[in-house]
Amino acid sequence: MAHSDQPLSPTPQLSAAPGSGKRGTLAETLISRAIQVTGISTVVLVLLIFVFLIREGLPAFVQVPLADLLSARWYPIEDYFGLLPLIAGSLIITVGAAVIALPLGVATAIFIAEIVPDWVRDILKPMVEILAGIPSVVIGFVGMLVIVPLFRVAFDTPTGLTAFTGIVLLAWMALPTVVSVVEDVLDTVPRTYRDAGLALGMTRWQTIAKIVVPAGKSGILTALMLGVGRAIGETMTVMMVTGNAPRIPSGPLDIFRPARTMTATIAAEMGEVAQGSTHYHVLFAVGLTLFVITFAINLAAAAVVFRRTKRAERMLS
Amino acid sequence: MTTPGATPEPKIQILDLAVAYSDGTESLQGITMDIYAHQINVLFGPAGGGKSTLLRTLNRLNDQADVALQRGQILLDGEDILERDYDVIQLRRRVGIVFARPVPLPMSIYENVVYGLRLAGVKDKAQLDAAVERTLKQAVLWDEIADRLGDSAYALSGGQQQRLCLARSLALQPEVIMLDEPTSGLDPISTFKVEQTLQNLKKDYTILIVPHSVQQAARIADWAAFFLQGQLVEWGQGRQVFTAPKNRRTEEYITGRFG
Amino acid sequence: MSRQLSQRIAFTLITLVAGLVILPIMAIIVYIAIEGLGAISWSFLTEMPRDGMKAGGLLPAIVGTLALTIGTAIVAVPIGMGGAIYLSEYAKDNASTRAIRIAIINLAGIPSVVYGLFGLGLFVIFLNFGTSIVAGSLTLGIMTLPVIISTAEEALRAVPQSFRLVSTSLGGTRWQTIRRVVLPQALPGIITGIILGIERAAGETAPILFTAAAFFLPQLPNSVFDQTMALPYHLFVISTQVPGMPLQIQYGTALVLLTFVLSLNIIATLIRRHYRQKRVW
Repeated sequence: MAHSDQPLSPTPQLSAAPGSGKRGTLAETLISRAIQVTGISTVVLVLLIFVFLIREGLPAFVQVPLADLLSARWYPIEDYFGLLPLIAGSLIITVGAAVIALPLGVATAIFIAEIVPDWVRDILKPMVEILAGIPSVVIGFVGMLVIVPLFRVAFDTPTGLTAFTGIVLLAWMALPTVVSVVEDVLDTVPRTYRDAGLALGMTRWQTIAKIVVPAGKSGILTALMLGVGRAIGETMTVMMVTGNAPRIPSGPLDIFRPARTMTATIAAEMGEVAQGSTHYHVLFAVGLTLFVITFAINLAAAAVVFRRTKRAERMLS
Repeated sequence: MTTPGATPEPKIQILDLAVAYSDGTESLQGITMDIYAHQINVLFGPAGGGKSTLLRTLNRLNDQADVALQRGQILLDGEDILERDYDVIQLRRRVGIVFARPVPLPMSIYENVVYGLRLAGVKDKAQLDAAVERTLKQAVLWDEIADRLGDSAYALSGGQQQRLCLARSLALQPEVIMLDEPTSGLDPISTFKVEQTLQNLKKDYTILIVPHSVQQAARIADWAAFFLQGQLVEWGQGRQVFTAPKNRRTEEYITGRFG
Repeated sequence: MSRQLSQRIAFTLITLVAGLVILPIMAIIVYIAIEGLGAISWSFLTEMPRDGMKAGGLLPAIVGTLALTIGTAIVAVPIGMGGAIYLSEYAKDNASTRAIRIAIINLAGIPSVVYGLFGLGLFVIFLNFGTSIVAGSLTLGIMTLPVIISTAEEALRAVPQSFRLVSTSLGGTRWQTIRRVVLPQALPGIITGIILGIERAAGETAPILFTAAAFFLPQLPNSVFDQTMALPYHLFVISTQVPGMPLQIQYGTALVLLTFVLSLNIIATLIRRHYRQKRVW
């Protein structure tokens, strides 16, 4: 080989190269800083949202006595700002949607992850994702034209615009979230668990029910919380199909009567209020309440996720 | 092999080096040894002994790892590379490394070889072409792939990929080449080719290698250092270490009583 | 009851449930397509609405949605990619990184109508942009960030660590490594995430209700500080606020919106599938 007389030190070009400074070039530093700033900007944005909701929402608590805010009557034109019917409406519809969405979502996830062959899975997964992409206004629109008349007949109500209509549609809309989270979790349950179950003579179903699903428990909890978070924030669909009557339900059968959520109230009324009026501030206060609720839910979900990754990291190391 | 008796010149001097990771895994305790220029320096011992850690400390690849403690000095040509403001980019160009598993970058064979040069700002096509031919010849790969340099590096066999990775390190004309079990995934013929390549390369480079077996260590070592659980148990000329080890644990390991 | 039988019953039930969930997805798309196809014509896509929206076309709403979509991308892509690169390549596991992760999770969870309030408070009123494309784009852009950041980060993390190690060992700085190795490999995944994020923004109504959308405005916006019609809000308006609205126009509008949004979705899916197959690692 004819290379024995090659110089051993780096060529001059190399020593003049970028990155040869002590801490990299100026460009490198600038880019790194910019990237850092964008990372931190997410925290700033959350704070900014919080600050603006407080700024516009806090006056409501000054202008309207707390007892009035906690009353059962929402009738802003006559200055009745009782939030209870709105909170009750959101609560019923969200809880109802979650109760339906969780079992359906878990079953669908099991179907996709454990039962069907891979090629079916490759078709079904994008399909569920498509559902997540259908605009809520479109679902509300179809709900109005198809589901609402159906329910009017089925439940013998005057309009078919009921809390239950919202519950059904919201449950369906929350499914992509639930399905994808649960499916991911089922995916991470190690192959060996399944093999162990089958080796013990369990059927596939027994393996799924007694080993795989219990192993994914924390993920299912996360899915529930994220699904709830999604449902409580949904606006357009509920506004279009629930009838928007602000009333506190008096019994369980009242889910077949109209209801009104916090989100729908903001969406329906904010466009018509005078900026700076009491009504305006109260609507922001409703937004602030929603923000705090979803913040708490997501924080709790995040705590579960963080704990899970920590444990997974420990197992890997 | 090296001529016994002649005192080689130390390229790297390691002085009382200690490294510990924050999760308490593999670490080094008070290592003092020299790496000699134009020699094949071998680090061997059971897994978890600290060999890879030492390699990664020598070109400061460990900077990004979770190192809890680092003490001591590493002198490269008399300069301490562990100094906080030592130019690590330049260091890594001078001290190249080849990993156990071949890792071609997801680009063509040609681009893989010149990757380091391009990072260093070399744009001259003739210079890049020359580097590709020179290093692929050094890595005994040129004849096999000279006509398909534009192909994806992933089209190569495992053994070819590993020699490509060697060529890629050589392209920067480093002074020291470190190889971390470079033949662990290779068949005997590829292994033989890599070992032969090393013998050729030591004329120009300082070679530091973690072999994948004691047999390989014995075959190629000019100088050998036996690592056990983060400690340097024995260090000396290869022939002496493998034929007449001074330490009982070295002997037990070489003869296969533990591993 | 034998174990085989119980398995059969369980699987049948699960299949039924999955069908109940999945079939309506197809049904809703097919239904809108069938009902709406009759309304689609060249003039429906290219003319101004007339007669209180009961006749004419969708042009200003289509243009408005396009403008808002592009605006959203301009706001969300740089910040989203920067955030993802930061989390994947720079961030250490410390308190500030955890704060960023919690912030992103919470941004993802904030109801869209609350984004609308925020946009109203900050962009429309405080910064005095008025009800405008700018205000709407900024609001939608911020809302889209978490989707882009989390998918882009996932794509970046999927690039093998060994590539970074090799690049660093060859004298690459962190940014050189990102730009030459990590980003090109992660790009298809990142683009998928961007399209999915923008798709969601394009179909949103609540965030633009008080920040950008006009009820009826039969002209094209002159500048980004004009308010605009938009497809989702337009569908809401004609299906709930205008009595006597011909059903076919409603279905036609729904179909145009759905087509726009779903084609983005399908493009994203195709990109992801194509590059996943081509990937060497």
